[in-house]
Amino acid sequence: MKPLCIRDALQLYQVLKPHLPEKFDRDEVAAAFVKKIVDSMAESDPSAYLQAIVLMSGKTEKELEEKYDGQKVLGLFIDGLINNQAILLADFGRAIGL
Amino acid sequence: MIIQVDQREIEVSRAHFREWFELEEIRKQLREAAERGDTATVSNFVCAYLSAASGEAEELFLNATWYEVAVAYGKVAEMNLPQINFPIFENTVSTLHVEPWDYEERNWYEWVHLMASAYGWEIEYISGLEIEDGIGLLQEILVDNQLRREFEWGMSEMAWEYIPAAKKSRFRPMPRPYWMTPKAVEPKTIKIRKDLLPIGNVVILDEKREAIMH
Repeated sequence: MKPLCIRDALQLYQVLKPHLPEKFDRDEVAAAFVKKIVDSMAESDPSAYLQAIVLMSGKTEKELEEKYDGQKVLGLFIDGLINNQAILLADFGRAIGL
Repeated sequence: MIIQVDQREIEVSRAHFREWFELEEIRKQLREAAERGDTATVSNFVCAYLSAASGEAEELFLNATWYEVAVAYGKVAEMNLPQINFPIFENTVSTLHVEPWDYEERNWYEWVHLMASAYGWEIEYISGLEIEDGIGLLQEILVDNQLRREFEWGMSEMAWEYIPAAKKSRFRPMPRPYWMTPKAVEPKTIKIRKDLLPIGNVVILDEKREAIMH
């Protein structure tokens, strides 16, 4: 999975923004960070989860439904956040006032 | 400064006055787009900023990995920040008032007009000034103009208000721009003897403050 271009990355930030923790604990394990985001999405806006994966993977919703089970979809989500350096993206989005 | 984007090393120099002005206009539009939450426009302005600063095509930045672009933007924007905190930019209040004679880029020509009138310099010379020199001199021109107007104001009848009861005139100072007014200082914390403090229930008469407290 390739890192996104600036336009898609900022769109991803807008999708993730309501679910990102207020403050980042830099020592926190990646899994705990991802769990916070996924839990928040599951609670308030499940469509954001799929929207984020579509953006990061470049796959369509239909492809994801047909070819991937829940675990693989979660794997795509985690890979996407790592490849796109989600914490740096959040810092950048906040710094430019989005 | 060298920025790395899309496996290329691009040299970016610090902007001169005209370029800096253009870069700041882009940053202003970027901030406005960010306030609206318009991510597509924000990304366009980030790339436009880097393109204007480096002379490279916008497409290079639009197609590159986002974090390379973000890091480059941060570095270039920081490099082009004025190294002096000029009061003229502190607490600026945008009035959004549009004059009938306003047009795009008028701000730049307004600045050039002031500097050319004051020093007799040509537009090319003004454009090539260092950022700090340009802003510093512009502020001095504005201060000079304001003080001259204040002197003229003090000479006119309008500045003196007649108070019939006292049978005297009182001087009304000419208002100054916000950045020329003295800065508000924090009130000093002083000790008050306990027996001089108010006693009983404190009643807050200001409804707004009461609403905030409940």
